[in-house]
Amino acid sequence: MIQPVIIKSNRFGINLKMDPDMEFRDLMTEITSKFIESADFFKNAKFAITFEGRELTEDEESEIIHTIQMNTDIEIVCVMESGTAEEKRMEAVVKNIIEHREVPINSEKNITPTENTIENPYELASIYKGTLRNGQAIDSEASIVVVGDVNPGASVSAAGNVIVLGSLKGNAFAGHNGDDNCFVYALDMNPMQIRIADAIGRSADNENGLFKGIKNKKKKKEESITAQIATAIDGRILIEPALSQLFDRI
Amino acid sequence: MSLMDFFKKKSSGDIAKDRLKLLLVSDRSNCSPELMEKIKNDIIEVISKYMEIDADGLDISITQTESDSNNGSVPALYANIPIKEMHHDSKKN
Amino acid sequence: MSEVIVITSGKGGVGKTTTSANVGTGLAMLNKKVVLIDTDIGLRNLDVVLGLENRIVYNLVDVVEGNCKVSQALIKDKKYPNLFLLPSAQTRDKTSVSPEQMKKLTDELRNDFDYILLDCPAGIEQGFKNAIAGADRALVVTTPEVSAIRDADRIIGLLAANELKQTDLIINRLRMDMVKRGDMMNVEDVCEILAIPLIGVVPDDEQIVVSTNQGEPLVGSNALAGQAYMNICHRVLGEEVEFLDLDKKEGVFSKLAKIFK
Repeated sequence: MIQPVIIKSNRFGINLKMDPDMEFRDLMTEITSKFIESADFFKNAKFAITFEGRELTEDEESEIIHTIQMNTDIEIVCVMESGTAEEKRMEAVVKNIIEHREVPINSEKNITPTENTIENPYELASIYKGTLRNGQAIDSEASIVVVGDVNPGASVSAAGNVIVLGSLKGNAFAGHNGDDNCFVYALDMNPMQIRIADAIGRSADNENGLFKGIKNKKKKKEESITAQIATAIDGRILIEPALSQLFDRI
Repeated sequence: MSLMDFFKKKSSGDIAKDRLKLLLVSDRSNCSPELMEKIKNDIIEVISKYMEIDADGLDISITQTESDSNNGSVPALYANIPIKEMHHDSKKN
Repeated sequence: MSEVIVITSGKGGVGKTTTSANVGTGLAMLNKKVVLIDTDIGLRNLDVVLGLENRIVYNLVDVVEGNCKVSQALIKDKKYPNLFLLPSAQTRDKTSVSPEQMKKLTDELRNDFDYILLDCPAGIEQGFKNAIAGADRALVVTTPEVSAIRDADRIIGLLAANELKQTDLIINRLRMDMVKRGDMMNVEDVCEILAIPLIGVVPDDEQIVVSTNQGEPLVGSNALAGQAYMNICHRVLGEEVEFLDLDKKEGVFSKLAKIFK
């Protein structure tokens, strides 16, 4: 393993993957610094935690939880058991998908949330709560959900999809590892720039992101704002209303 | 003092200019208000030996003045010292 | 022969970025090949004033750190193909770049451009030192206010210590109505205090706000400020241009006042 400690997010919360051979003391130092690094990202989120990679005694587990809670605002609500058959299967599928860079398309047959999660790694999402302001940038190796606005000059970047439950007025970058099947979704789509894999789209010059909002305020109040979705088609960014028939395609 | 000052109060533009002139000279020469205060007190002490002066009305500052040798301007110490009464007895010394 | 010019002021909010955008655009209109560099890392704004904020992919820090080539980071202007912007980074700070790196960058750009204009951040710390590192000459922007003039004086001193070839003064946001009332220092007052050559006087003009809103510099337009900026560009090129007739509106009263003095 290259890194002795890896923090991954899964649908329950976070998964702490640890080097199996390292001295526990050294490992603790790694864990502490890792969480201090990402404290800003997780903020005061409530998480379940799973341990992976090595067998831990009860004391060791509680020591890890203690260090997380001392050094970040994260609240660990429970410890999930790891190594169950289901998770092993999940890991295998995720690995397979990452290696082949293929995103399975949801079929009508497997719509149960559990199986969805197994098949599509990008349905694992980090959640950011709050407004991202000018100069702030967040990044995730999964998908990312922003519960709040992304202001001009702020940027959201993810290996998977970018979902903004608010107004997207800054930059969004989906599929930053090169997957052009990823999408950007926003309740109010008014971005300065959208990138999906290698495709770049920018706002039209006459309605600059910064001031469009001011000018159209009146108009917007009358019309209802429709959620929109951006996808990459032949290297170009296409933004369209997020209607139900569209979900078959992504 | 210009004739205009009799007709109207000094305009804020002129006030700004005068304040700046003084401020910049002390900025440029790194002359702190504390140092100016010391100089002022020393001047009062020396002059008081010879004449009675109005210490409250005393005004000293550093200004620019045209240099005689080269054409640039150089800093100059300006002092306005109102005299109340000459100490005639000082002449005896 | 190309020239590297830094636009600086010391104090914030006096119009460095607006001046950079207008002088840069004006020089491009006069058929010079121009690159504008925003050196205000962390608080970039030149992109917005030029209306190019939606085209930024790489920035100054990417170039300096070697994440991309200079040519990849340069953004061509919408209107003038001679004009380019090198935007600043938004998520970093001033320490991401060193004066040596800036000097290397500006020297490299000399090969391709007639004018390299650097929009300097406010203050006299690292950002300022970065901006002036490779500069041949400076345009010092001030407004006719005590705070701005005092800071400009400090900046002029620092520029002199760094041995720039030439330092010229731009008086920005002059309000003739206030000068007439005597409630604002006039051009002569400011020049007398700062004692460096005057290269332009820009009147306070609400069209500047409109042009910033639209992301299109005002230079070259009929607005008074637009004309003033164009005149500055001609003077930067070394041409003799008469100063705009802002004084003509000074009126009888202030002329009388001068006689009395």
